[in-house]
Amino acid sequence: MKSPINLFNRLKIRSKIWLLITLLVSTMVITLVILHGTLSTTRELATEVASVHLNELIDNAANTRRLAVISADINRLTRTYRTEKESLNQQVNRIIENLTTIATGIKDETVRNQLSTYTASFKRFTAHSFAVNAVFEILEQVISSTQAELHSLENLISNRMIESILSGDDTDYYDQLLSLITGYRESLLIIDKKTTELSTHNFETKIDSDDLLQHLDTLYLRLQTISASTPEVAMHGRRLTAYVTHYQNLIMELLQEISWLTEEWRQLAINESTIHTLIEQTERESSLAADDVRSDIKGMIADTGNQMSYLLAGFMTIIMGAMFYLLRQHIESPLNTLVNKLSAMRLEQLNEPINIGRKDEWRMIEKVLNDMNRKLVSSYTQLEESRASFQALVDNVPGTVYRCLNDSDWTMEYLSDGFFDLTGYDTDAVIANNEISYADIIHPDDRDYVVNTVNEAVSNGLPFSIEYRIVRKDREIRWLFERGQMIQDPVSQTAMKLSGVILDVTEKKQLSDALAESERRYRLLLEHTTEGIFGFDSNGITTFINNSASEMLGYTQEEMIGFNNHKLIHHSLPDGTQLTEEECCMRKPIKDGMEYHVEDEVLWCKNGDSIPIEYWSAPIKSSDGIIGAVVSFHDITERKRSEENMQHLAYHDLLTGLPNRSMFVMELKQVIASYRRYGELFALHLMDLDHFKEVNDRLGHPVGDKLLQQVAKRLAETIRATDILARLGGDEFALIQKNVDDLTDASYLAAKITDLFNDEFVIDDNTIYISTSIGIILADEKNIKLEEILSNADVALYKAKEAGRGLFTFFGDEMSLQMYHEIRLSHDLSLALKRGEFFLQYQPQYYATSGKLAGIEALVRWRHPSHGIMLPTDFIHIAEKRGIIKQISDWVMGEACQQAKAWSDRQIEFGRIAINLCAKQVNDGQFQQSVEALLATSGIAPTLLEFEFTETVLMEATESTQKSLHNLSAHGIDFAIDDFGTGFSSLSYLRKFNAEKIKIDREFIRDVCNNRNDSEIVKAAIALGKALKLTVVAEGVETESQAGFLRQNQCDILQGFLLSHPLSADELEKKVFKLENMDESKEST
Amino acid sequence: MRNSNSLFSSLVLVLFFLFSASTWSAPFRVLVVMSYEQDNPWCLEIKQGIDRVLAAHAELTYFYMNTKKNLSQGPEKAKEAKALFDRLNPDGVITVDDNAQSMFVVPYLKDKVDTPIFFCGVNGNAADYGYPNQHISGTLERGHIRESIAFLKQLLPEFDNLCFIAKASPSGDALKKQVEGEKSTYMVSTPHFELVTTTRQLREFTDAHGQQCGAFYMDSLEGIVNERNEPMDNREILDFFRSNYSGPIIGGNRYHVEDGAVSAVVKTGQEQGEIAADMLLQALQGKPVSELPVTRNYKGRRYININSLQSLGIKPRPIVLRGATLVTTTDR
Repeated sequence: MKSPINLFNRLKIRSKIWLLITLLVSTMVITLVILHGTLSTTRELATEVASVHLNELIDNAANTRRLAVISADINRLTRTYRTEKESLNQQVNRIIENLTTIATGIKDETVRNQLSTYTASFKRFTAHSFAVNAVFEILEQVISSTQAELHSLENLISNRMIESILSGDDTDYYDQLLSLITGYRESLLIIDKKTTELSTHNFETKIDSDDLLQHLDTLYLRLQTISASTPEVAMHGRRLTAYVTHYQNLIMELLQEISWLTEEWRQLAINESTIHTLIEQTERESSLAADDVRSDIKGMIADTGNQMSYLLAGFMTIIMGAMFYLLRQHIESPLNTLVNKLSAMRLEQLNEPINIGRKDEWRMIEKVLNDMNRKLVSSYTQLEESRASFQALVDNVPGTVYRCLNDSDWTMEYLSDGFFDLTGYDTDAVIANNEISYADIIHPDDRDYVVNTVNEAVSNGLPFSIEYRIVRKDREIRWLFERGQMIQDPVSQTAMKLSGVILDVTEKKQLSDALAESERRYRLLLEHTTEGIFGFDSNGITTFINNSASEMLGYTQEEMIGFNNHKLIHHSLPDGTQLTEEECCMRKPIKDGMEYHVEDEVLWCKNGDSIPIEYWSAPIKSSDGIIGAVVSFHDITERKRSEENMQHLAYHDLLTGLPNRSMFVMELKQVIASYRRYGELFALHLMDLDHFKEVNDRLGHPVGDKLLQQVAKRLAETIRATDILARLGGDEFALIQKNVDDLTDASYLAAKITDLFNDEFVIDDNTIYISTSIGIILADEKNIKLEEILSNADVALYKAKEAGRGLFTFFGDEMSLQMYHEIRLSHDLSLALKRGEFFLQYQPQYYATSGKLAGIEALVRWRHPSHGIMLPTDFIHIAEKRGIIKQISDWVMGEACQQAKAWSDRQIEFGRIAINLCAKQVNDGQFQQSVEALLATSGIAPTLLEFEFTETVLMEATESTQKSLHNLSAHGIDFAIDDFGTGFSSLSYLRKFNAEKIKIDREFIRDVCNNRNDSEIVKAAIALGKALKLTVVAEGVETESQAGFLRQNQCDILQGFLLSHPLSADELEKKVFKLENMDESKEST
Repeated sequence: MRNSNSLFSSLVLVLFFLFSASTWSAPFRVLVVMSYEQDNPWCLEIKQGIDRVLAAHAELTYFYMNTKKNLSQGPEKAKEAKALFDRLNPDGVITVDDNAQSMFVVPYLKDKVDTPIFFCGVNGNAADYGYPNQHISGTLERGHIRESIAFLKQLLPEFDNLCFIAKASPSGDALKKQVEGEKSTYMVSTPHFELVTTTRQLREFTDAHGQQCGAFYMDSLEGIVNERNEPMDNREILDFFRSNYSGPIIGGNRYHVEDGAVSAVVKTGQEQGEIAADMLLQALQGKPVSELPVTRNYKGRRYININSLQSLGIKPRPIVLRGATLVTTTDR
């Protein structure tokens, strides 16, 4: 029979561990059973605590919470009872209801009684709150009444003050009163503010009402002084005093109420605090009972813990003993044996087998280790063979092979034998930096470069190639080429090392440096020449370009190199004609191997400009033939400009810059040719400055020259671009006016030119007045020759000089003088407004039957400086032609309105003043606005105005004009149709334009008694007027018989010399208004 | 027609000028009899008021009885005034202050002539002089005492009693009567009212009672005599008074404040002069005197003397200065 110990020894280590686990689980089960018993008892105790004591705590907490809510409501109410007056009652009721509800739920007698006291206190607080609010309301009413009283008093005093000022009395008294009242108002505002502050006072702080009471006292006192016033003021003063006294009483009442309220607030706070104290006391009692139960539970848990501790200690001792035996016997002993064997293997005693001598899991380990030992012996053998092969390879590499650490000195670990030939140093001296580090052998100037290059390659994990110098042991400097890379240490697998090959490249390096120097010299030559040079390959692609060429063309070298140069810079000729690559002389050397020289082409710059150049293009030859061409060029702009200047000087006048006689003759020839070929009419103006010689003699030639320059400038600014102005010499200018229709065109240009000389010339502080005479010839004969034209123009110029200078004449045209006069008049007309040469005369209109003054027509007159008084018939048509009729009409309208306003202000009755309007004025888009502006500025009543215009004006009227006329008619302005009968006399116009009058033209009146047609027309016009209910006016009534006829035919109003000539305003006042009085006197007698 | 219009206009213009000329050439003649001397500040104020109303309508002749400085000559001056009245034969008369009533109007004019007479500056009751009657009316003078007290109380809230001092004269008597009648409405007590004729009496009174008086109200003191028996003007009296009494003094007129009183709600001679002159003008323009009842002055004006304020160490609240005219003691 086997003993249990033997049986146990025979078990495997795994089985023994399982046995130990079973023992542990059993121990845990027993412990849990005991723990369960203890927890059941604890639960029973806790249930007891929860069911009894905690319920009490929960009830208390609920009541406390509800009370807290109500306390918060009450607290809020104590702050807002002033602002929430409307809902105050509602809130109070709600709070009392809630307090009652809580009281019913409280079992504790003491707490319930205290809650009842709290509720009573709250009711008293709310009662005082209502009282305070009531007082505040009355205070507001009193303030309002006081302010109304003050307002009334202020009105009274202001009125009295105004009366005093009007009667010249002293106002100091009222000034004082007003100031006093301002003070009252100020005090009232302060009092109101202070009262409002009372409404927001804090119960916790003492009310400071002293300031308010002081203000009230002061106001009361100040009101006392106002009784020293007139009875009505004193009465207000008494009322104000009564209000202030009332206010003072109310404030006292308010302060009392607030004091009570504060007291109740304190009581409320005390009661609230007492309730909370009682509740807290109840809570404390419940809490003490719960603490007892908790103490019982704690004792029970402590006992259970002790029992559990003893039990666990016993079990743990047994388990620890079992584990110690297991570890000692089955793990530690065989492990020691194994360690001894492995130590022997480290000493390369690989051939001895391992024997642990056990039958459990250790037997398997023993077998595996013996297999591994055998394999290791085989690997050692292979490694020795590989190392011998590597050494043989390294010995045959040119230069040296190395491996070093990646540290700052590149500490060498391995160097092949070639290192001595390369550096003169033994490998032993450099390995491990024994005598010198490899870094020290590198040339000091190259060391940083090498460090940076190697570090960069290493950090990027890339191999590196580098050339640098070293200083051999014999101080000779050699160029080396090194290629290396980062490798991983095969042993540590973490440390990084460098490995590579180093070669001597000194001879190769010297060769390449010599080549680079040669290239640099050529490049320098290319870059520093002022000639532009560029080269291109057989396809025209730019291969190089020097700086000069780049600067001239505006392209950078990058923008040129690699691109087709013909398309970029040589695509067109100077006139813009396209130049093909086949025709391009720059490209031709590539085809035929010849050299080309060109100087009439341009190169196109980057900014689009072209530069004229002279260039040479030559082929570039190599052993393979022509591989491209090189172009050298230079800018010939200055040379071209110089040539052009010479050309300009040959055909232009140096002083004025105008074409000279030579060019003028060339141009004239062309114009004559064009006239012959195409019939394009032209005029030649030959100008000669009047009295220019005197200017030269008096002021000197420099001034004369400047005068000629200014004249040339003014002339050049006046003519069209197509006209040609030239200086023929001295003070003689010529102008070719092209595309002329007739004589009028030429005459208007000539007039414009003579007008240019109206303004003075100011030269070097000298004011010079000068004119020009112009001789004009209008080419009307196609066979006319150049010399003939010039000669005839000269004759015309002579005529102009003869006629008085400052004039122009046409060759061979008798009408030119009349035209000249018209032009002259036109010129004078344009100045007449500026010079104030216009004036108005007024011709009265009379009722045909009563003879009373019916109205006045304003008539414009021109006081011409040399022709005397001129009537509108003499100049209106010219004004219309010159486009200044509107300005004249506007002036007439403004002047007439001013005069009419003056009469109106003096209460002189003149009916309406009739003003003639022109078509341009009426049809102007701003007509209505300008008339309205005139009405506003002059102040004249519209009912004093009558506008006259002809039927022609109506015919040209647009819809806008019609509207304007209607609007002005609505203002009260009357409209009359002037010269009725001479136009279309369209009835539709009369209807459309709301005319109030028609004026029969004087042409029909003149022979009305002798000419049957005229008399019938006049009769018809009057009948028409009557039928349309228009007033009919007859103009130009000069004889008694005409007046008789018109009266007989019921013409309404007469106007003409028979009754009165047009008169000045003064004459009108003297004669016509006096005449009117006399008429009245006659009638009355 | 136009000519006839012009003629009519010219006629109207001529008539207007004629009428205006006749009006201008015949103004009312008015005699003004003042109780005091010409340079008395009160008389000057009254004169300003009369001139302001009547200067444009009447030829004014002023007569001064000088009774402040020489009361005994009053009856003689009254005779001179009557002589002037007879010589001038005025269309209306204005008599100023009580002395002119008692010495001139009552003995010489009242019920003896039909000339409308209007008084002003009268402190006594109108009935004392038999006013009003069919040709006499006017305006009584009443000091704004109650208001002056209230005004001083604003400057000096602790002030609680007021003593009065005036010259023993009809005006002083009248002032005393006024105080007796209305003192129940005052906000402070009025322990003393003293009527004096000499500076000695004044000093004795202030020596005896000055300590108990919170403030003094003085009015109508002009004319009391000094140690040399010379009548003193207002400035002299105030200077004397202030040398004997260091408390606040309030006066009845502006010149009291300008001469050193600390404050007052003053009555003005201008107002009374204007009222009397206006009543007379209405009477001259045809309104029966019986329709112009006796009235009184109303327009009190607040004055504060800054120099006095500073010497008393009073620092008033700015609001008190509203509606008040600030003056300084005028140089002489």
